[in-house]
Amino acid sequence: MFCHLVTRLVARRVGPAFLLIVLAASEAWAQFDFVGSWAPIGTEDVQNDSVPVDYLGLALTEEGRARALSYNGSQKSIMEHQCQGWGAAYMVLGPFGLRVTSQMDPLTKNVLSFTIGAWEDWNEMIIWMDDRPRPTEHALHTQAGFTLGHWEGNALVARTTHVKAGFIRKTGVPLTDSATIDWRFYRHGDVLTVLMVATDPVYLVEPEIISKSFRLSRTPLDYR
Amino acid sequence: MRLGLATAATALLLALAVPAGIRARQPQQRGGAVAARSAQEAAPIDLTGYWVAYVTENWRYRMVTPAKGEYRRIPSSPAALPLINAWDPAADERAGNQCKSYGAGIIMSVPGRLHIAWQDADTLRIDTDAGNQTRLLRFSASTAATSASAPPSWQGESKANWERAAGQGAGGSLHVVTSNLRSGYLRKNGVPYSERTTVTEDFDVATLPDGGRLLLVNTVVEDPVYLTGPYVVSPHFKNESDGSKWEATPCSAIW
Repeated sequence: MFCHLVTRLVARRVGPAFLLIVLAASEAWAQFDFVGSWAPIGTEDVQNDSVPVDYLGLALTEEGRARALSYNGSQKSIMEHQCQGWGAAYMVLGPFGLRVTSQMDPLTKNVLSFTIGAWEDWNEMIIWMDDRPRPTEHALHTQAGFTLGHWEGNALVARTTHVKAGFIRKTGVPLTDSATIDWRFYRHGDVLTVLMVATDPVYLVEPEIISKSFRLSRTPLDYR
Repeated sequence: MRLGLATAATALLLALAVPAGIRARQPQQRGGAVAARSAQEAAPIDLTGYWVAYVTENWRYRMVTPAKGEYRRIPSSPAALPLINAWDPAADERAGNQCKSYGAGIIMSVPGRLHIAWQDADTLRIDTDAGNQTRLLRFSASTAATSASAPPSWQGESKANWERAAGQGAGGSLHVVTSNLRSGYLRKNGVPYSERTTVTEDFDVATLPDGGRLLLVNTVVEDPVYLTGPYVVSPHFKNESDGSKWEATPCSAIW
């Protein structure tokens, strides 16, 4: 009798709890710690070492090639271009490391967003993790664009839209403001690998795919 | 009502605690949880098939033979410089060392195609059409060769294990450590790595916006002799539907 009562009590109290635990466990987030300072490693050349008029390995359309050939590096010194900076793709194309912070919901403590800090000529990028709706097609386009992210297996997956027209190489290879950039961030030990897939219906025949690795820095990066 | 509240509170507390515990255990999960099954059965991602190198990094160092002495972006040590400057591809050919630039330290960066298949339930086999090389990634100690006594080889001995992401069907990565290598080249123009080199690789598969699949191989080469620090590259490959474009070519000291 006593055993029967205990069994019923356990079944009523622990059973549902166990079910909820199992459900919660099966939905455990496959996350890694993205926050921190990630120093550039520099052993991979992702821009053909910025040799002018060298578009080897890039699947440019004729329009893209013509536009790239018309680029002059000195245009950045013109007053109206001096503060232009570089677009979202420069995260992997540029020589800098990544300073990643997270912002949490004060009540739920869920991560609302990750911010990859700016450096001197690159605006900070916010990766929104809260499933907010993407802005309308005609919303403001910025250098950093609008980025939504989510966890997928062992990767942080994100997509950037609403970018300003910019460049995919420092030597003037262009991207339009219709470009989208898909990102995947993988972490293996102290190495963070960023996979970028840039798609542009105007200037690229096929997506440009770049991967670049960073190493976790013991000291904070400072690009002020 | 009291029972319901108690149940809910217990569930909430434990539900919050369990995922954190699972996350915390992730780094230690390297294959341990799936030891009872074969590596093939336990595979969290499918790496098999044909893959073609998609060369967008280090293009000028991979697609053509760089000039002699060009070791930019490789952290070569002072001990490597005499070898770099003495590079003689004709001498390598004469000595039968034309595969020095196809060893495990560089093979995944060599432009070409991969064919990945299961040789047996615990050995993943990678064939390359460039240089006709074969890598055997062994998951089980029982299938491993007697690596301690085996002579060094171009592809060395590779120990593999799955790293599973937490969550049902969440995927994962393949982690491979390769050693017991013959000395070879990290670049076609004779930038060396020694027999004491260790190559650590992590294989991930990503889905492309067009639905295609991409294989990403994060590679860390460490050599206490000819490198001052890790040489890190991340070559990637696009999936192909079949092997119709396979073009087997022998090793060559230059392109």
